[in-house]
Amino acid sequence: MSRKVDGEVNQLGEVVSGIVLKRMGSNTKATIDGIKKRIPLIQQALPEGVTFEPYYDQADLIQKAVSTVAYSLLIAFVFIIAVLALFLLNIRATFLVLLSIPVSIAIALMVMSAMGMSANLMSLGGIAVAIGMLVDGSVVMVENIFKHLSRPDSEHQDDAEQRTEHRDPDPQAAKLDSHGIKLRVKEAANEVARPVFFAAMIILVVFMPLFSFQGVEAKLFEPMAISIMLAIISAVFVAIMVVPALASYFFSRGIKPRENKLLKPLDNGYKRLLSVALRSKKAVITLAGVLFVGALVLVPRLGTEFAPELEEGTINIRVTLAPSSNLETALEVAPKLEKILMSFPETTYALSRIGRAEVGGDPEPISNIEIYVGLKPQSEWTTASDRYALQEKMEAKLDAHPGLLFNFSQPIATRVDELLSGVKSQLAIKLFGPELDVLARKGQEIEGAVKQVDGAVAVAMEQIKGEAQLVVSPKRQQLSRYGLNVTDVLSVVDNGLGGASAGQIIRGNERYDIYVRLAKQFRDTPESIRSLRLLTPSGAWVTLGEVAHVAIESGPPQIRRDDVQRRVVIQSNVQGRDMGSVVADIRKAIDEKVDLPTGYSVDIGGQFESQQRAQERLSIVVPISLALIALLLYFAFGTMGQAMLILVNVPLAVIGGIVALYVSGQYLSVPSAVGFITLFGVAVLNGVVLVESINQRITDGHAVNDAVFDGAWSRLRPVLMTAITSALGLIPMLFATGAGAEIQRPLATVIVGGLVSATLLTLVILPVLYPWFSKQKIKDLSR
Amino acid sequence: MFQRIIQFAVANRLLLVLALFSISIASFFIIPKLNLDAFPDVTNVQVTVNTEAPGLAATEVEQLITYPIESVMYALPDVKEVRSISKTGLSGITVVFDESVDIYFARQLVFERLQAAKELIPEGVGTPEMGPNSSGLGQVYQYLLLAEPGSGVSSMELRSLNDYVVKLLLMPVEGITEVLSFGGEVKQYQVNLNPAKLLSYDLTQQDVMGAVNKNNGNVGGWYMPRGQEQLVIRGTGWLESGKKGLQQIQQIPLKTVDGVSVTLGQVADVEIGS
Repeated sequence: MSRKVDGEVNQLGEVVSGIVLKRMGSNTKATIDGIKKRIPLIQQALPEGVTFEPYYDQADLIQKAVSTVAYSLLIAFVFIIAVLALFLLNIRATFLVLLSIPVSIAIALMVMSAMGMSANLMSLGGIAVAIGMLVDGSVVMVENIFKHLSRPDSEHQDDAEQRTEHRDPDPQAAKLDSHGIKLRVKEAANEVARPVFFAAMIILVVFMPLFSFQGVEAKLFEPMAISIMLAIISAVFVAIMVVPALASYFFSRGIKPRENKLLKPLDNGYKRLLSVALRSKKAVITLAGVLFVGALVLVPRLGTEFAPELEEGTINIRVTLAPSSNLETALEVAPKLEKILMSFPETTYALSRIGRAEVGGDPEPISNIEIYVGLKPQSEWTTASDRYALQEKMEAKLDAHPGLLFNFSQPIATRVDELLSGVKSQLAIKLFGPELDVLARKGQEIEGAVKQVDGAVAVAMEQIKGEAQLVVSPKRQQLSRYGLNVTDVLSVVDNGLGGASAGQIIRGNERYDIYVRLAKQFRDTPESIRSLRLLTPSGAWVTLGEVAHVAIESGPPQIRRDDVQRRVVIQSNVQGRDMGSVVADIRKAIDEKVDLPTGYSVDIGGQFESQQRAQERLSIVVPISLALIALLLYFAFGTMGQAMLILVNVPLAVIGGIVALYVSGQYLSVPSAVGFITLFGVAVLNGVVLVESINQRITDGHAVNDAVFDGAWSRLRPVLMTAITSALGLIPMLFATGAGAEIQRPLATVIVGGLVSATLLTLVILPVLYPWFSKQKIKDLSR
Repeated sequence: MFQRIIQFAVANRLLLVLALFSISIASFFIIPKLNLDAFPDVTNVQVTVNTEAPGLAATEVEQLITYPIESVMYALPDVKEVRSISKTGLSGITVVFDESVDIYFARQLVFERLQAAKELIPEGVGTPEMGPNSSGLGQVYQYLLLAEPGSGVSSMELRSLNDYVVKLLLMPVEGITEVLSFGGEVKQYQVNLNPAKLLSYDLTQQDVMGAVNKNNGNVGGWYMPRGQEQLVIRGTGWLESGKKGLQQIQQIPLKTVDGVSVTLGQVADVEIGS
């Protein structure tokens, strides 16, 4: 059924559909474009009255996914322009910084293209995540060039003073500068090139351990990590080479320093806050400690899951009928279900497929109806706000038909689950064992137990019993009396009842079998089969009923095996609760309520498997990332104390990340873990900038307390600027609703939340802690 | 190092401007060539082997087809898992390989093993075949063939159109590995035997099948020189399609009784069905 443009429901009846399979690794978009080009040709070749009508097209989804990312990028870009303009108050400088975004993205995409990587939701999403970080290097660079050009250093100072004596009106005028703008730009760039490079290194290093991921999580997040790394590398290239070169053009006439009135109160406020904090050190540290512990307390309340489900814009409902139902029953039920589904204003079409396609698709029996439901964009929905609620309402209505089992999912998700674990649901409770009867019995017990578990929905055992079969079994005694062989009986079953092909009729490309079997009326009841006659070697005729039992029995419709063991699967989806705790409850329920005989075992697989594997891997990856950061910091600062001081940022960042997840009701998942890893890299940078600035002042011979105070506030602007651009770059992802936005949302949430807490707390706590962690360093520096 | 890089950059600033310029030009050409997918493909390296066994029940499919194939697949290197499903009329085996294995190499390994497995499957039960080389994101496009009401096109004809017209037009598109048909009815020429008549003429089903086979074929007769030219010699004995074909099948002689031949039409109804 489909909906015409005017919204009227259009009944299609039985039709023929085709499923186009793409070769692994080929370009989806190009393939679909190729198909579309062929459509006029196909239409031409079809006879009058027959039309070719596409109903499912992955290009739509690609389009949606790409536009989700593109939209995020665009909004982020606008945000960043606003922030930069506000902080820099200079159009040329803003332009120079912004340049790094398109250039880095272009280089990253070109390298991806050259590497044969595909641009998809995850790899493009990586670029969207990185957009705020891309400007960081250039921001620092431009800021410093700015400073050098507006405030002359000692060398230029002498020069300028000489000129002032000659009544020069503007001591900083570039055309009178004998050293030239180029030299000043170079000096400014030399000062910050190292920290800029170092900052990028930290981000790159943080992502390295992600490449040890395995399985699904590797395939999901490696493209993301690669695209982020590529973009960051290109951004460093832009910051260190392109920015100084272009700056020497852009600022060739020097710049007029302007007082930033907007930021003045910010500076003053921070100075006051800092002096208060430096006076009451214990209170500050206790406060931070309490916040951190408070955040950790929230952790057990965060649910866990593998990754949020991606919205595909199409629902796929699997309807399971009784295993013995025939095609006619299915054909009768399907239109009724379609009609119910079409009564929802959200659906654009409802199309059911019964049974299985030709070999090569999913192996489904006739008792299985698969309904594709096309959905309008989520913003136009009226009955429900999200897919789960809509599914619930659909199911409630569909339940009017008794005896049917519904399983809601989405087309790609279903197929991916099927290919990965052989099961089309999130959770697969597998019961292994040798006897089908026992498997069926115990499976039902497990099914009953799991149904009681809160959060487990659409719990269903695979049908392994109940297919009606007509069994013809030879009576051996009778056979030997008549001198017949078992094959004589079986060949009646095989050829007579089943039939066999005797060649083909060929017409051009078309080939049709010539199929020889008994006429229908001689094989359509057990009685008629019993009365079929066989010729004995003695020339006498016997009926089949005399030499064989013909009886209706119930048999298994399917037998599935994993690693040579027969198994039955109890499928379940998880809804309203996180997967981790549902699985724990299921385990408990099975242990308590089901008693398994020897030789039988239970295993829980499906998506849950991936989650567990990812969790295990993350428990190694996160510490390694932290250790690598610590190592880099040690190399940069030369003492363990200062490295530790900067690492204090990590718990500070964790506070915000956890709170943000909790408040937004999201789960701890692989994307949120990747978010934390990224966050550590970004957050540490703030600390680096601050500590470096304080160290600088101590080297210049200032007293420790003055150095801490001056060093901290002089870096307020760059710290805020980089943090705000990084966070703002992610804001659009928090609110995006398009296809695929859901997988990046936890990641963005963690980074934004963490950046807020890390930046605010770093500015206060780092100066407070500085003297304690830096005793050795202070000695070294002031020597 | 950084000093030298910056020195170079500022000294050759025109070069950098040119580099930026060429990057932006190049990106216009290169970026549209990127492979676009909706999601990353998370499918593991797997090869499926499907066997159609029309009419066989699940238990027989498991014992006769699935088990022999499964057992030889375990011997392959880097196999992580072998899964199977045996259903009425169909055996499907999925061999999952380690991530590091190239998919074409894996398919080749499976193909080699499959030759051994074929020997273990009783004759006439079914021929195992490798499934299409596709992935979880593989079903990229689905379409319907619709017949306008009143156009007189039956679902059987639609299926034939899909199998022999649409499919053949789609298959050459780069990137498509397979087009699967769903629904409709597969056209067949059916010979429906009447067992009573077979008995009365003392014929068996095998006789009928043999007779059909003997009356349907084309052959080549090499060449015949003809002056400066040559003629290709053909013997054309294929059954024709459509109504004429039905008639021809009915006329197939099965045996001769008292000088009168018994035709297939006398012991069976011949029709087009599904």
